[in-house]
Amino acid sequence: MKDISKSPWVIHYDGSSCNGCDMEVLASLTPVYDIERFGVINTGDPMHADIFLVTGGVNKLNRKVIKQIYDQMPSPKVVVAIGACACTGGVFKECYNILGGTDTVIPVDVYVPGCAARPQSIIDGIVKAKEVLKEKCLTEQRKGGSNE
Amino acid sequence: MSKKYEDIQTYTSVSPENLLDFVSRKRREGKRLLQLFATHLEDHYQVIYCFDEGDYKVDNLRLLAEYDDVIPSIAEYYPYAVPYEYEAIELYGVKIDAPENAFNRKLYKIEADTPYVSDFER
Amino acid sequence: MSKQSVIPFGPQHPVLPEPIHLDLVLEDETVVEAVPSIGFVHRGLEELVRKKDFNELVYVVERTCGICSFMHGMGYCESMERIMNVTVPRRAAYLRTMWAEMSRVHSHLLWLGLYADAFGYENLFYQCWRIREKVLDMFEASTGGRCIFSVNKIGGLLKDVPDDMLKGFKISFEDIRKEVKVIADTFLQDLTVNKRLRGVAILTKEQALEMGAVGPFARGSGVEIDLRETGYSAYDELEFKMCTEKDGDAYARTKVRIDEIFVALDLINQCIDKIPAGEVAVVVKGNPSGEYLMRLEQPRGEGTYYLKANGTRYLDRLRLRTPTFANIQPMVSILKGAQVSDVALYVLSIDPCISCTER
Repeated sequence: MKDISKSPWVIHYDGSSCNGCDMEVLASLTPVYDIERFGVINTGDPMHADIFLVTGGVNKLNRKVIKQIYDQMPSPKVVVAIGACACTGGVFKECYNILGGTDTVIPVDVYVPGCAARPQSIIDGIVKAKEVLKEKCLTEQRKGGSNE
Repeated sequence: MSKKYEDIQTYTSVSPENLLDFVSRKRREGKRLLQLFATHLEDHYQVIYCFDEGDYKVDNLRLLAEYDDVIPSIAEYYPYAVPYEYEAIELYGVKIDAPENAFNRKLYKIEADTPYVSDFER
Repeated sequence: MSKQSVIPFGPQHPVLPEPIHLDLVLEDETVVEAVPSIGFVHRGLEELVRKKDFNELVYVVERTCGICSFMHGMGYCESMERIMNVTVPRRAAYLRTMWAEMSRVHSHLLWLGLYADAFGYENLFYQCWRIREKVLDMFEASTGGRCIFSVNKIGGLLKDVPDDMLKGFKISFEDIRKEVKVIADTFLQDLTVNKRLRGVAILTKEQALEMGAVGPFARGSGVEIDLRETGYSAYDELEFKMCTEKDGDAYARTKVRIDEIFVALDLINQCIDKIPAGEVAVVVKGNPSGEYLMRLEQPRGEGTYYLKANGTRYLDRLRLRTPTFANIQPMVSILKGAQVSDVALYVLSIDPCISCTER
């Protein structure tokens, strides 16, 4: 289990983002920023993923989708909220359909600020998420660890 | 220089009764419907139907209606008006006689009913 | 008759970066009907007119979409300037036009990349995005932002761009033109791409007119609409040609978009050559009163901005009609008869922008 933190897989879900942060997440996966050099790979399947990247605020409809993806991910798991909207609701906080940031639905471990978040800060956030994942792995090992 | 067309906009007032006459004439003349949308004003609402008259001229049919008036649907003449009509119904609470079986009866999957109607208008 | 089944397409789908949602009614593998629904990205930003004043709204409107962000801000400002009878300085109009065309280049490159990924050309995807990064670098140098720039304000621009930087841009865009030429040849001449895209997702000219398609989707079917011909901003002093194709399939749309990249690069060159010196903003006083319907050509087609002001700081109505909203109906109509495995190719061929559509 301790080796998971070396090459975690990420899943990306676009909440009610304006696409800005989305495109920056995609851009940080392309060769110019190349997040894959940290051992991270993007997957479409929640069951394979260790790190959950959320962009955009939470609204009444995608609340269920975000919760579902989070529940499908195997434990230990780390959530990264990318961009101002995912952190707090951002400029759309006052809209009637926006509930707030990602932390209104699921616990968030790393917050990446910015509107739109820059690829550099997204990479920084994912590297931080790897550390959090490592700690979570160690905690689970200490608790029981027999299920390795 | 490459400027070929002038930006001309006109507004024509219509009522729920004679709306379809105007729209069917536009249809016969082959005009393109740009959009339709509702706005809440103080004690009534307005629905604007925008048509491209060719050469980038715009003619807007301005329909003013009371809250209880039922507006006929223009889907018979412009089938692609249906999403716009659904939008006006679901977000603005405008009473439009739109086809009932489109989009599984609901285009906007939101919990709130007519969220754009402010509280004092309800 | 075989049994019909309904499968949901999206909102979370590996091919789609955005949560589009369709209910597909299938008979075996063939789509009988597609029913779109809206709501996963719906924020309700048109309602913010009651909470933010007309100056703050520029920043809200820009965040309708992170891809065509600049055009949204520009449409809102131009509309408001017409209500308030403000003429922006020519330098500001030229810079707006230049940034708008740069947005078109980066948006089309982004789409080409995503489309290449959808039909299985991961390498081409990365090449497109590599070139796009160069455009974004120039955006960052001139505006400070990569996706959302916030340089527009009512009455002009918040920032000026030094002439030396513009001269440097001209050289960089020459390099970009050469690199786009290489990927354009791959897209248009490669045998595999041709086999995958020719004859797929056909929208005839009659259908396009009947269903109200806009933008490259309509131009790929031979419909001649390009709002730049109305000459807003500085387009009245620039030369360009409208790109249209006759076939109406996915290949024609790809060709239209590639041609538009070259036209946009030409327009950027003309802007840099002709840009006059001077101020970039005028002082705007008072509150707006009146209404105006502004139309402009976004990367995805015709966008309309209707504003109704009542003489106070808060507007009565802000209405955005984005190109993808107009393209939903024609897209749904061409999906009838498609194979399930082709659905992603059909949907992506209109260049859908869901956050624009749902607002």
